[in-house]
Amino acid sequence: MPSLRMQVWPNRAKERSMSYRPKARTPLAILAALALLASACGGGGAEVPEADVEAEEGGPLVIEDEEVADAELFAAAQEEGSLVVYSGFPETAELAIQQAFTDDTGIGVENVRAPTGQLVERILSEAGAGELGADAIRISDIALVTSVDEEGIYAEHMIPNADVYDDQFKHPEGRWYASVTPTMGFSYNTELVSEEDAPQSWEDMLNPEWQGNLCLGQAGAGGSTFSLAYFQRKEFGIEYWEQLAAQEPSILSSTATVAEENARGECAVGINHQGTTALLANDGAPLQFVFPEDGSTVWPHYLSATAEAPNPNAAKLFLNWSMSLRGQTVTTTAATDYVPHPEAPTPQLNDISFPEFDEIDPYFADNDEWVEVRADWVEEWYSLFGYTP
Amino acid sequence: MLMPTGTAATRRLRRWLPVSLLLIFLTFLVIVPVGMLVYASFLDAPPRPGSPRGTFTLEHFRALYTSRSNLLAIRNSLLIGLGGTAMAMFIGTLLAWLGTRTDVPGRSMVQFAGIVPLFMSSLVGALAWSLVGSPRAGYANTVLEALGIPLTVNIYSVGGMVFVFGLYYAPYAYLFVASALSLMNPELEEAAEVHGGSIARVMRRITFPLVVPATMGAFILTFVLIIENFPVVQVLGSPGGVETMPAYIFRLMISAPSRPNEASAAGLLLMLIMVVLVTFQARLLAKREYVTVTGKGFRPRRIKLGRWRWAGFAFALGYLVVAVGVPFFALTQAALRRSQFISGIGDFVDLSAFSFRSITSLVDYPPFSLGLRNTIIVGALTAVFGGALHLLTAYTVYRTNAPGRKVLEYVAMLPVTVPALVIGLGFLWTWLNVPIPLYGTLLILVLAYTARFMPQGYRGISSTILQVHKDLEESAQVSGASRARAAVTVVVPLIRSGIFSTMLLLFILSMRELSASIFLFTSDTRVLPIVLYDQWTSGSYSRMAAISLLYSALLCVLTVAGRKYLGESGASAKTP
Repeated sequence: MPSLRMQVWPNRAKERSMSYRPKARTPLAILAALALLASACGGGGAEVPEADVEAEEGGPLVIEDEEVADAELFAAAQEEGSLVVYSGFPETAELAIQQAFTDDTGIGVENVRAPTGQLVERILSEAGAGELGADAIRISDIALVTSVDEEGIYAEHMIPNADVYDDQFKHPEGRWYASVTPTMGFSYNTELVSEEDAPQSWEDMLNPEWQGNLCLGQAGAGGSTFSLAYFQRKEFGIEYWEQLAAQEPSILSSTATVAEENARGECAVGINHQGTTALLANDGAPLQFVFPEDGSTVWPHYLSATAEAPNPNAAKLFLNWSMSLRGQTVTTTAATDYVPHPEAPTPQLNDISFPEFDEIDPYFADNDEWVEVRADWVEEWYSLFGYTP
Repeated sequence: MLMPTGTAATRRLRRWLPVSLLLIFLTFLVIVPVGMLVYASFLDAPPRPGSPRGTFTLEHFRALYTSRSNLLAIRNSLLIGLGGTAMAMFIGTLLAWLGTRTDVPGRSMVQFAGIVPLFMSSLVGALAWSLVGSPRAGYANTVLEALGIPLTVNIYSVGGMVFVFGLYYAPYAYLFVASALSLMNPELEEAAEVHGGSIARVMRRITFPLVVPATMGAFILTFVLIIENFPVVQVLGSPGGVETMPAYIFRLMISAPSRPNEASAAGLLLMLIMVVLVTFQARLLAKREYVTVTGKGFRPRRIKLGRWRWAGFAFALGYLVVAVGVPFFALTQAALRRSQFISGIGDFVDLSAFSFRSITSLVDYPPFSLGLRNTIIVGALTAVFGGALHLLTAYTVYRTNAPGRKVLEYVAMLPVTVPALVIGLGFLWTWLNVPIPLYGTLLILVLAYTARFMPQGYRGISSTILQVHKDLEESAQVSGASRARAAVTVVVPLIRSGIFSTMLLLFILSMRELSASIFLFTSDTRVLPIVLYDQWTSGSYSRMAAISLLYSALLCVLTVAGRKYLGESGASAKTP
């Protein structure tokens, strides 16, 4: 291809004839100023509560009077020293949870974060090559969890306090545990919408007032958005999708961005994740969250240990800890999401606690049906909402 | 070093060895990954190791052909490509002409304006413009409303993307046209003028026809770069539901469950479009010979603009403000605001709403420091590795009579037609199946970037090699030096600054690269553009803006510092 003279960089001879001499000292000065400022102030972050940890050499791990691991498991986990978690959970919250785990146990965690769909592709590829790097996995969407489970990737591990949890939050053989149960409802920008005008029910969302001023995530993005699509179709029929589509919503590629777009004022109301909304609101964003009167969907994130894990004991310890009251308290604080442990505190928005989990009328999808209809319904949703692919 | 005697067999081996080795290497960098992609696009199951081998199917191509969204994606990509290229060419050509051939005031500023946006990555540009031009809360709309202008800007549209591409690809057009204009012998123009041609007529009949090849080259290069660009269409196209080819490929890969075979087929389709375009350009330029550069020394003539002088100046300044100033303002706002909500124009200057938290908290944000470290390592390795590889390839092609050297050049230029996303996907399939544990390391990124930027790197080095006449090297060889010695002691010192300049280019291009790494990174090997992209997908706008600012400052400092150093060493290397 000799005639292809595609050159992006001017070569020396040409350059000199152009006598190019940029005089840009400003960026340097800005960088220096920023670096100075960075070193001058400290950083913020989610405040995770302190805990009373008993971890004696050769003894069990006991946190707040709860035995998280017996002496044998704890010693074996300490021997391994660290673990790798593949997580589709929002990164800031996941890192805060893992940091608390490290503080409590002295065991380091390396987080591999990707959107759940991408993560599953990676897990299946790596496991196929016999090189799965994950000791533990946390992903949403029971259909994807099932597809990973079918490849025999999950280990079976019973946590010590399994009895505390309802059956729907745990696999009978311990292949997964619902470690966090985020909910979906409505968010609104308090600068644009008054409390009285805020939507209260799924019917309210169809109000012409929100036409073209409503943000939501695409149904195939993950557990968050499919839980909504599933709920709407089961409860109100496919007509609800049609009516919602007629509202000309801004369809975002994931739920994660709905809260920020709502906070910026790009849309007045959003069908949104309660945890992200509360995190942003606690950070000063003009947001408020409403649990719809006729039901809020729940999209658990399932935590599992892997069968071929390089650090199996550290992974088991991570599961035990995450499902202990201590781990659950940390999770609800870091993510401002609900957790399934019945004694864990409820999340807060601007220091006001959300209602108890039972009071929000949580809606759980039927896991088997979810797995069965997911692909087809997502396709139908796309065509109804004119979203591609 | 072997002496040039020996048996016929060793001689043959020595003749073939360099080309064969390079060819094997280039094959693994380019042909195997693309081959894997082609393979995947004809299978009904992803080429994941361990999983059952899929069977042959044409279903994915049929699905592409019948899919409305794919057809829309092709149409939009072509539209955006054409519009963006036209705008970039207009800005770039005008700036190039102003900067090299006119008496515009502040010529160095005009030249600076011509290339400086090149160092703002298109990802940062798109993120910044999404803050400025989103249909409701965009800063531009706040300003328009305050001014009482009943107009809404919507950057999430075909027009919006054309605008952003036009802004950030203008430097490519500038570089092409500026070098052609400044190297043009003014004798022809002078002759035309002596014969009574007016300035406008001379320009129309002489100047512009002479730069046609450079302009055509720039047009098609820019077009190809735009239609394969992923960050801009992802950031600006997806919120408004404007389907494009690269975003479509990406979404097929990340949707849950992912559709890797269809993604491969769509990638192949985008690649075919690019192959057609590049072949067309090669044909077009091959037909005629355009010799404008001669050995004679001359100074390009400057045209007196008269009363248009300041209009030219204002155009360059305006471009600089829109391409760099506005995004910088938007990113600063987003980085410093405690709340991203803006109720009116007064909020822009309400200092009480500002805080340095998002910038200072980067210190405690491990992905940032990790990404920065990885980006610099990958950039440096790509520069060193690519520099060495391209030097060897270019030397073999232009300075030896080794058989098959033309094939080498062909393969080195091949990635011009391969979309970055396709390189990423191809590398993913290849290295998951090859039992060398490259996947999950920084090295796989280095290799992918080397493949991605091979045309730029190879062109950069080969053009400097071509500037050194063979005579010098041959006299060294006549005086008894071996080929290797002649190359190392004669050629390399003469082209040193050219090599450094190409390596710096590779370094900077690697630091900006998102598309080739998006399928290849693991959390350990995240590079800065990936970290930045993550902020956007997770809706952390203020951190996104803070990282964008630091990242752009870093790129700018590197470029300015690097060019300054090169400018000096280049001058001293020339004296002996």
